[in-house]
Formats: sequence, structure tokens, C-alpha cells
Amino acid sequence: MRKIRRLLSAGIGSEREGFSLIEILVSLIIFSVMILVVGGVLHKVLVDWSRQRDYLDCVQNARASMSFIVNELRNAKSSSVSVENSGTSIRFLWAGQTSSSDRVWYWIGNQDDDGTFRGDKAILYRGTGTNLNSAYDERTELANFVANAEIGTDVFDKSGDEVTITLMFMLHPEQYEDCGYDCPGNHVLILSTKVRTRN
Amino acid sequence: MEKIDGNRGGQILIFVLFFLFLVGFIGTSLATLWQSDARLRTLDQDGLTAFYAAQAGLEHGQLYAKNNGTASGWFPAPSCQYDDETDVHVAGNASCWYSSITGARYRFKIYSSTSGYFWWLRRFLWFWLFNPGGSKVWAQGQAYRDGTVLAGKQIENNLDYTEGWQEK
Repeated sequence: MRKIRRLLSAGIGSEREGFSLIEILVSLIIFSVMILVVGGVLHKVLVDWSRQRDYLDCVQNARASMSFIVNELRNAKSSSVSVENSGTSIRFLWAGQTSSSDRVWYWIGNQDDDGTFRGDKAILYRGTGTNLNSAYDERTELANFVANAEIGTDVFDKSGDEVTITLMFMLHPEQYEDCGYDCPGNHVLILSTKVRTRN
Repeated sequence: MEKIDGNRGGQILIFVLFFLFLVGFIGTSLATLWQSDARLRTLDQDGLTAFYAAQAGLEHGQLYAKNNGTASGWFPAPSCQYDDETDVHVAGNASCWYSSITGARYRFKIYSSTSGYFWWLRRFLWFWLFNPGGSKVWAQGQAYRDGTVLAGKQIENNLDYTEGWQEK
């Protein structure tokens, strides 16, 4: 420590030993530039990494929820399938079931949060019960990031034995109103498929 | 600590500059790699959209076979149809994509797994031998944007005739 102090103090205004003021300034500038470059790159990588991680969550959400609904709906009794609430919910019975209390419901919410009936509009729910109220009491969250309500697209549609499911996902559905499908870092993921009820 | 003379100072400066270059190069490379990775993941996303579109085509095709196929293995052509492939009975073509949602579309065709015959001969044999088994429904789904295809998936399923056409 004593040596360093002597080195620094001796360098300023002295010809004997140590760094000159110019050398220290140049090294500080180089070091600062280095920190700025490395920091900038790291920041960009971290921001991209965080965004991609969220996107992956979103895609996995989409994949899992779509797969879940399709598999369950395939086993539904055709005559029991009914699309309700302007295409935002669907109910059906499995083959062999007859009681209305066994009805399976899928729906998206219409509120800003989960605490009030029918739940958060960015969440896809599943529940069982005679009506949507009773299903809501036993709800499980199947997927979040759902943007159908914000975009105004029906989730379910039925034509004969064919049910069309359309799920739209965005990391920040609330931004759709401002910049549509092309919000920076908030692209929409649309999954649409058809299911033919088998029973 | 010894005094750092002019030569040594120059060496340190060169070392620092080299170090700076190295760090910048590695950092830029990492960022570029990450962006490539991000693009790949986006492709996976488009692939998922295409897959579900293809699945919609498969379901649509199966329903078509169920509702329109005859016991002899004859599938009447829908309004949008072509027959330029020997095996094809029912098809959508480039102008016959089914699309009900932004950025995704599908088409399907139904064909026999038996090959090596002319289609009319196969239908003739089916008619007389009553052997309509072995047909397949094939579906293709695409994710597209601004006229550019981003990803495509093809899937198929066997069809079997037991009191009507259904998936095997």
C-alpha cells in the first residue's frame, strides 16, 4: 500500500518514478470505454435473454394448453358440446357421462384480475360444474398471456361435429390496443386448430 | 515497485488495447449468437402455429371422409379439387387453402396407400373387390406473414372403413 501511494504521489510532478497524470488519465479513459462496451453488450444480452425466456414461457403455455384442450375435447360427447358466451367459453360432457354437474368448462375471463367472476381476461381457465359460476369456484388456470379478449377474437366456434379453437397469446396483451400485432418485443402467437368430437 | 518507463508504458497500453479488442470481440460474438438462437426459437413458434394448422386440416379431412366417402372407397370431389396426382382423390391446391385465422392456413387430401395402379383401375378394383381399407388423409399447415411462408408442417393419418370412414 505504501509502495502504491509512493508510486502515485511520486508520479505527479516528479521525474523520479511512478505514473504521470497523462498516463493515469489515458488509462482511466481506456478503462471507462472498456466498461461501457462490456456493460452495453452485457445489458443487451441480458435484456434479450429475459425477453426470450418470457417468450419461451408464453410458447410453452400455448403448446401445453392447446394440447390439453384438444385431447379432452376429442373424447367429448358430440351432442353435449356447446359454445357459450359469444365464443369465450365451451362446455361438454365426456362420453358416458350424463349428469350436468360433470360438465367440463373452458373459458377466458372478462375482468382485469382473477378475484372476480369470470376471472382474468388474460387467463384460460378450466373447471367442472353445472354452470359457469360453479365451474369458476373450482377453476384451475390452464394458461396465461391469453390475448383473445384484448384482440376481440372468439376462442371457440362449433360447426356440426367440428370445433374450432383459436388461442392468441401475447406477453403483454394490454399493449395490443396501442400497437396491434407488432408491438416491439410483444409479437402475437396465434394457434388455431379444429377438433372433431369422436363420440 | 519499480518505475514504469516509456517502453513498459507502451507495452501496457498495447496490452490494454488488445484486451479491449478481445473483450469487445467476444461480447459481440455472444450477442450475435444469442440473436441467432432467438430467431431459432421464433421459428419454433411458427412451427407450432403450422402444426396446429395442419392438425386442423387433418380433422377437416377426416370429417370429409366420414361424411362423404362411399364404401367402395370413392370420395366425391369438393368444390375445390384437383387430380393431377395419381393417388389423390380429394384435395385442396395452391388456390384452395382453408384459412380462418390470421397467419395460418391448411389444406388436405385423401389418398390410397396402395400405389402402382392407375387411379381409375384402383377404384375399379375397389368397387369389385370391396376393399376400401388403407386410405389416408394427409394435411399440410403453414404459418405465413405478408405472403411469405414462415414454417410448414405435414401430418397424415390412416383411415379405415368399418361402418363408415374413420381414423384407424
